[in-house]
Parts: sequence; structure tokens; C-alpha cells
Amino acid sequence: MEKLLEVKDLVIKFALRSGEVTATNGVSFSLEKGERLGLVGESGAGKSVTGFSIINLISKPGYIAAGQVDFLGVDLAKISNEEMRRIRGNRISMIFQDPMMTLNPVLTIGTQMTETLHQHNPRMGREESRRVALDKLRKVHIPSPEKRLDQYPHEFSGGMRQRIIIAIALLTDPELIIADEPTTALDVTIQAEIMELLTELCETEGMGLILITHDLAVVAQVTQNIAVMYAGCVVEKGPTARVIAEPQHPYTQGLIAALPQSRGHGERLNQIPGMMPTLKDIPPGCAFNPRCPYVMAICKQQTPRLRPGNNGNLAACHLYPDVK
Amino acid sequence: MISASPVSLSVAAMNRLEKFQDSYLWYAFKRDKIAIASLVVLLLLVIAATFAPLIAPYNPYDPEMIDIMNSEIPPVWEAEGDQAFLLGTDSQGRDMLSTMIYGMRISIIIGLGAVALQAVLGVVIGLFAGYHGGRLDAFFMRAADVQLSFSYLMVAIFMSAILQAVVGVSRFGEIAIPFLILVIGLSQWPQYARTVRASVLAERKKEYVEAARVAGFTSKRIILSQIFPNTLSPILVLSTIQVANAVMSEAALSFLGLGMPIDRPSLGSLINSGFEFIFSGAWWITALPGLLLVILVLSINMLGDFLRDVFNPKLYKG
Repeated sequence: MEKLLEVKDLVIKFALRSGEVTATNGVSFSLEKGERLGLVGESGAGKSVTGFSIINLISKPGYIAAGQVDFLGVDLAKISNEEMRRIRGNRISMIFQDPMMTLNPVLTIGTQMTETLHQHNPRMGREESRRVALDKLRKVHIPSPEKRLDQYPHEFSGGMRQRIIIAIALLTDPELIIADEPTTALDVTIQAEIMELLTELCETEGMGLILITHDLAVVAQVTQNIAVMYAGCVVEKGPTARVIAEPQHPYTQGLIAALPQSRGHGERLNQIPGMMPTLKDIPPGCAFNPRCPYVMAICKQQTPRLRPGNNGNLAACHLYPDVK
Repeated sequence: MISASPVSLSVAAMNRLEKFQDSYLWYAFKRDKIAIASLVVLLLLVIAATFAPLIAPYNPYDPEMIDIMNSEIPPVWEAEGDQAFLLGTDSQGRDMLSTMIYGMRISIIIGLGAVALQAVLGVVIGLFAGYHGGRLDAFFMRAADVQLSFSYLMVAIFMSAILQAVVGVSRFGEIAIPFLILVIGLSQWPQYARTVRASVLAERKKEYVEAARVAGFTSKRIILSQIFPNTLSPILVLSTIQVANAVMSEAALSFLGLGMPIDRPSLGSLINSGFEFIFSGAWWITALPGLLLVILVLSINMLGDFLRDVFNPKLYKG
């Protein structure tokens, strides 16, 4: 398989008034063409900022301090703003959390779709862009798209809006879609529909998908591989089924054990003791060491690199022997 | 496909009409008697002004039609009134009714022209300054402050004095309309720039703007196609008020003798020309154009109030 995206040792920093803060510290993962990858972690683990760094749109004062974002052989961290703008929304699309907010309230769906098409293909005519828009609306299963095209966002329900946002993301036939918590604002039945739709589209269109979420159930349903993030680092990587069935890193183990279904009715839920450290006071060594049930002396001195665990998942943990 | 498109266009137009009839704007308008009355009055005035040559009984610009012997005839309801001149004549023997209709035409043209100019300037500056912020924003907003800190009358007096000296008083009349549009337009752009900038500051933080950025839109396209439509309602409300203001400004300038010359009078210069005859008893030369000006400005302002209430439902209606 051909590599679509390779993120290597990505370091993102925020230059705050009180000093520099490291948001991600050497994140690496890669994606093949048509692959679906889940980026999982708690709030503040650096998932979203990693997603934004791929399209080079980290909000100020954040910046990419080191590392590469290799998209089909082009390092997106190094190219000019103008070159990046041409890729954004054209070859890499992004879907956001809240479908209520991401559509422009005063423009019809049709206008918003054709605007996107014209931005990336100024020579496309009205008829042609309308035809493409209709085609994409059909792909996301919007009923009677001809009628819907002339309606405003407030005339759609939440689930429908998210479908439209996906249709907009599909307009230019991108090679990669980054979905940042695309179903958090939707209710559970709609969530399942949207996730099914995304999976189906990735398969039929051959698109890569990076799904950023804190919902393990969603990830299990959609993705082939998972990267678990904690305090700005990837702590575990592997095929979805294996990561969920046999988590190697103590943090992932804690996450899986905390799922409500791991406990019987009326029992207290499992939880990982303590809180994720804020970016300003990440402890030396392994960032997870204050909360880890297996903590050793070395954990407080040395940051572990990713290494194979017992079942072949990569885990950043001193429990497993490091290999060169 | 090609033969089908006009049909689909007219269907779209029908849909639009239906949508308008369903809209809150139409609903609120139907219930607001003042708004209906203002619109009717305003439409009548605008139609009269537009078709002035067809409606007015005389052509006040045609010297052949003016007879100095007819000067200062009072309106028909006065004892010395003449059937031929419904609202009487002015000091030069021009029919008041015709002169007022033609004068209103000039007032409306200058009002709309000046507003168009200030709107284009102010909206473009407000949009870009608000979106980009930083130095661009600081520069234009300080320029706006400076501009607002001295009166447009002062600017107008300077400019017209210079212009009259350059082109000569006799030819000044020919360029008076574009000159007034320019002066009033240039002096009022900060109103638009400030209003638009304020809404841009609120809009640019919203997620749809971020989404547009993520979709690879250029900032120019984000500003013009995404943010601009969201700032339209304050612009619309401001525009009605500004048209009324511009008409008033024009009247004020003409009244001071800096505007339209007496042979092509606007409402303001008509009021001015009649001013000296008030004490000789010929009150109608000043009062009637004054009344027309009040009705014109009032109907525009009333409509503006109505629009503001509709677009801003959260506003307290006392």
C-alpha cells in the first residue's frame, strides 16, 4: 500500500506570555491510502491540535516547532501559506464537531457548496458546480437534493447538517478527511448513522480518514487502526481490534477498564486515579507515571519510546523492552 | 437543459416570492400601519421625482416657461391665488409645484448617490479592517475618528470654495451634483465602517469562518462571500437613516449657498431662495419645500425604524 500521510516527530508549541508550552511532543503516525485511523485521548491530550497541524492551521500563538507532516511526498509543515491553502479543503478536508455552527446561516446550502467548488476550481460553470453538489448530496443520502440545495441551514436537522458538511468536505474528492469529533453534538442514533456513512464513503471513494475522538465505541466501529494520545504523546498504536481487546499501555488499559460496560449493574465505575497533567507541568520521564499502577523508578527519569508490546501493538512504556 | 433553465429560473422567482410572503419581514410589515403609510408616501414621492417631467405641470429649467410677471403668486387657496399655479410661484415666477418636484429629484439623486459612495467606501474598509485587524484596522479606525472629529460642513465649505475658485462660479452649477455626492459621501463613510467593523468582529470568531478557512478559502473570499452577507442587516438599517441624513446634509449645504445653484434648485436651495421673502409675506416659497423635505426625510426615517425593529427583535420597543 502507498503511504498517504506520514507525521513524524511532530512538536507543536504555544508561545504564551508566561512562556512556551509544548502541546504535542514528538507525535508520529502514518496513514495509508484509504486507511481509517482513530486518534483517541482525553480533552487536552493534543488530538485536535495534531489534526489542525496537518492542514497547518494551528491557531496563534501555536506553531509547529519541529517534525514533518508528509502528505504524498510533500512536507506540509514547510510549504508556503498559498500552497497550503490550495491543499486545504481540496485534497484534505476537515469536518468539525458542531454542525449547527459550521454552516453559514445566511447562505443557502447550494451557495456554500458552489463557493467551495469555485474556490478550488474557478473555471467550473454554474450548471457544472450545481451538478457536482447534487451528486455529493446524493452520496450522503440527502433526500430530494434538488429541493434541499436552495434551503438555508436552519431548515435542516442536526444530523442532516452534518451530512451536508460531509458532502461539502467531499466536493473536491479529497484524498484525506480529518474528522474532529464529528458526532459529539449529535444524539446516539444519528451518531451511528453518520459513522456508518463516513465508513461507507471512505470505502467507496478510497479516502483516508483521521477520526479524532474521545469515544472509544465510535473508534471501534469505524477505524482500522488506533493511535492513543496522552499529554501530547502517542502512547499506543495498533490495529483497532487488538488495541481494544488487549491494550498494552497502562493508560489504554485504564481507559478500556473505565468503559461502563466493563462493570455490572449497580457497581461503581472504574476510573484512572488522578488527572491528566496540564501542559505546563508535565512530569519528567513518562507523563503517565503519577497515575500508573505499575510505576517503576525508570519511569520518573526517562521518557519511554514507542516499542512493541506483548502482542505487537506499539506502546510507549518501560514495561516492555526497548528495541533499537 | 438550455430550454429548461428559464423555466427553472421563473420557478425560483416564484419560490422567492412565496418565501417573502412567508417571511417575518412581510408579516411585521402588514401589521405596522406607520410602516405601510411611510412606504406609500415614500413611493409616491419617489415616483413623482422619477417621472418629474411627466408629472410636473411646468419645466422649471426652461426659461421660455418662466415669466417674471408671475412672480410671488400665492397658492390657489389664498385670495390672490391663480388656478394655473397650484402651489403658487417663487420670486422668479417659477411654478412652485414643478420646482419642488424637480428639486426633490435632485435631493433624492444626491442622497442616494452619496449613500452609495459612503456605503461602498465604509463597507469595504469596515470589512477588511475588521477581519484583518492589527495595523490596517488601527489606521482606518483612527482615520475615521479624525474624520468624525470635524464637521462635514467645514470640509464642504473648504472644498466648494476651492472648487468654485478652480472651475469658476458660473460652471460650478454643472458639477454641483457630483460635487455634493462626493462631499457628503466622503464625510460620512466612518458611520458605515464602524458599523460593519463591529459586526465583522463578532462574525469572524464564528465557526463558519473557521470552516471556510479550513476549506481553503482565500481571506478575500471569506470576507466577501461569507462574512459580508452576515453584516447586511445593520447595513440595510443604517442605509435608510443615512439616505435621510444625506438628503438633510444636501439641504443644509444648499441652504448655506454651497450646494445646488438657484437655476437648478434642490429642496435646500429652494428653502434658501425663499428665506428672504418670508417677511414680505411670501411664506410659501420657503415653507412648502421645507414641508416636502420634512415629509421625505420622515418617511425614510420611519421605514428605517421599522426595519431596525424587524432585524433586531431583541431590541426593546418602547
